[in-house]
Amino acid sequence: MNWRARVVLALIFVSGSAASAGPVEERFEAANRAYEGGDFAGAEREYRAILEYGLQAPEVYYNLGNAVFRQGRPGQAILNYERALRLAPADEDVLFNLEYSREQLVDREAAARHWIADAYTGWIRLVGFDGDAWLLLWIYLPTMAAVGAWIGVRDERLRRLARFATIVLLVLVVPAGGLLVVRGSIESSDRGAIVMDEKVQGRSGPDEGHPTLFTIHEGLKVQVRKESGEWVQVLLPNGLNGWLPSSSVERI
Amino acid sequence: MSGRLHQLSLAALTAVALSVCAALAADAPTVSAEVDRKRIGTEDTLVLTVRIEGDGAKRVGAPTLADMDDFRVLRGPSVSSQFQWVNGRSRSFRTFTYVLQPLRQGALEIPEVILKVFGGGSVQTAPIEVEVVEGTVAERRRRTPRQGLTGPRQQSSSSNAKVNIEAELDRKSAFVGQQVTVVYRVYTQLDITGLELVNAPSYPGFWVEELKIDPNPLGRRAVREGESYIEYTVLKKALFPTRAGRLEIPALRFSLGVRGTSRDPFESLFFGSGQTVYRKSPPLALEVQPLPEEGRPASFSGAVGHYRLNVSPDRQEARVNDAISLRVRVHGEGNLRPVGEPAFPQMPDFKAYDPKVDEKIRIEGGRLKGSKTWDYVLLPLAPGSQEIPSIEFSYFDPDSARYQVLRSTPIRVQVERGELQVGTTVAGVQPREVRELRTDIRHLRPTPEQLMDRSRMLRQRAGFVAALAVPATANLVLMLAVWRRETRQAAPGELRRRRAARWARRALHHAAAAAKHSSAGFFEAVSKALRQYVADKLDRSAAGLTIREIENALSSAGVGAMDCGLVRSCLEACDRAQFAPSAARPAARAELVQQARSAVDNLEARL
Repeated sequence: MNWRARVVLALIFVSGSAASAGPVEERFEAANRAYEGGDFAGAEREYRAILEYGLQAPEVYYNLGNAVFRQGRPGQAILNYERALRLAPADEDVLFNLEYSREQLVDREAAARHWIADAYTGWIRLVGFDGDAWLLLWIYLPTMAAVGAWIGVRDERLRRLARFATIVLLVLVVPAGGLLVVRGSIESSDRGAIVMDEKVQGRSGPDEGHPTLFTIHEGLKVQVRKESGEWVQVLLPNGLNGWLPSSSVERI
Repeated sequence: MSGRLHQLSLAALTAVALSVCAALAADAPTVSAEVDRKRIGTEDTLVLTVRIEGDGAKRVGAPTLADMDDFRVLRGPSVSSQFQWVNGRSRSFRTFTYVLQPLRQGALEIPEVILKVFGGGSVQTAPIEVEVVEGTVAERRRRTPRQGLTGPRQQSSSSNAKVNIEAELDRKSAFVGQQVTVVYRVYTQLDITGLELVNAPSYPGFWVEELKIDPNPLGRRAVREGESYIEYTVLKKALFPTRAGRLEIPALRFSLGVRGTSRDPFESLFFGSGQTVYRKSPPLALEVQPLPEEGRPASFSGAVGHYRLNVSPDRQEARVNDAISLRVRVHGEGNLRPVGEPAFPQMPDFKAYDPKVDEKIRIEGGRLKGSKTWDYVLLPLAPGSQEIPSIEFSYFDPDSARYQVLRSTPIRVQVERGELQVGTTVAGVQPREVRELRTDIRHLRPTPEQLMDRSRMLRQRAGFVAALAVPATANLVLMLAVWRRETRQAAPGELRRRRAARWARRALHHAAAAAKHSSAGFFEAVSKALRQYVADKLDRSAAGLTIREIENALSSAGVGAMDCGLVRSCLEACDRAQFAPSAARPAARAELVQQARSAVDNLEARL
């Protein structure tokens, strides 16, 4: 978000806090009305206008996903549901619509996943957007309090109690902090993208002259590995690797 | 009487014997092939006659026609045999007749016909050349007397008379599924005695229904290209295109028995006036347009034409599990055969069984009409006022080129509770799982009071980092503060006592490290460390402290005699060695350090 967008957003929020609903909410409401009236293209325009402000809200991405889904664009729908999921990983509606949209696709993602990946996904869905950070805070602050008591209290009984509490809480703090660090590392290295073209051929190199390795279709989620000019190297869910034109995919 | 019978028997035996002898003595058979004419048109046919003549004709098998590239065998062979007894000798004739159709024009050749002879060998005919021209040449009359259609009487001679077949479509373009009628008509100047199709007609890309025509049609006078003909409708088909594009209707080949009226009485008497001619209808083409995608209802199942929809239950009051019959009937004009079942609505409170389908198709005024009925059996599952929702049927109207949607009126059925049965909780109602009727994405998120920006996560915010750093820093500060406080508040003697052991161990460690290389100063260092330790522990000055004073002071402080003795022996050993340092071996030095450490440890536990 650049500084101008920040200023605009700040002004909107400041003005919004005075009234019951700000201009962003009014625009959101107008988009919802357009959707309800069957004007899905109009609704899409309004949702996109909200995103232009730089506001990152899962509700906007979710409703935008619905608007483009109704227009028969599963690739765009999946892209927006994925963006909503990043902001609200435990949102059941987002998960349902994402899964429903994927069922409409030509290409199926590999079903078999490693149990560690499943466990990680389950953890993220359990804690949501910031739950793990809050959890760490809720354990860490009492731990620090216990450490402080252990250091500072003169009464021997209280000191022993504080020492015991410190040990117990440290056992919890270490994994909570570790999971937060792991999540940060995974999310910063995630380079997921969605195929936007109805059909695109994956080639062995970043050029039209290279032989075709596979054909994939709109809506498939891929991982971007490298970029070279107008081409990106992607990894498919089933492990296939190839080059696609940059314009055929959009980063989540 | 018996004498006459005996004579007859004798004559018969003689005849048989003679014939056997004649057969044995027979000459080799001769075979020949001939055609009825050497010049024909592509629309004409040719009669090929293979004749086997000679006394040994019976020994010759049926002819085998080689594969012909230029002709197709339409009929044959028809076989005829003759046996003659002339001047005491028998002669056999066998003929095989084929009707051939030329496949192209030009100078064509009928290849040799091969005939196998029983007993070995074969005979063959000579090839025959035939000239084939485009169209037709004047027919040669053959004798095929039949009753049939009568040509115009003013045609006195058949030599130049014409017979044609024409085909006509009632429209030049149509939509997929729309009825198109093709009519085949004969235009003749001769009497038609019979008519049949040579090949079964095929219409690729069409669904075909036969339309009935009058089996004894009345001719209609018609003038074509200035000549007078009699026109007969001989075949009518209703065609329904099944795909879009330009569809070809192939030519049909008819075989017509014709009879002309000749002025020549001799010709009429000896050759008759009947013959068979072959005619082809011209091929036709139809432009078929696809059904438009725009405006196509979801319920469209392929019906094209004009239809009506009736939905009726047999009753509107029932009990739970008491079957109701619901009839859905679509009727009108068009081809109903391929039309699928109307979309049956989901009814969670009814169990619907597969329908019984009945189809009644009829032809009225050359158009295909009829009705299709689906009879459903519905079982009410729950009591109350239940509704059978509107049933939708849609069709494409080719006249307006638009889809039409028919909807039935919803029907309300009053369902009463049934008899109480074992396994039911409410009278007559069997508990069941709620069924999902269809799936869809979940609905929009309503407008919240305020849309929260989530562009940064909590862990990325400065406040979070501060929340982690500040308590840790505070604890460090607290730790320092506590240490400083303790340091300041403690009495000097007390601090000295607390640190005595640490300092003594450090001094012993340094002494031991130095003793590895040289013994100079070692014993003095050990002695000093022990004396300083005792002085620190007892909060006294180490200067001038004798061994005896140390022992007394330790005893006074409650230290046992053994520990006091250990301290004394260490100090005495140091004093002794100071005067003869070269006598002390490295092993003895190490042992002394160990003893000094043990003395410190023991005193630390007591003091």
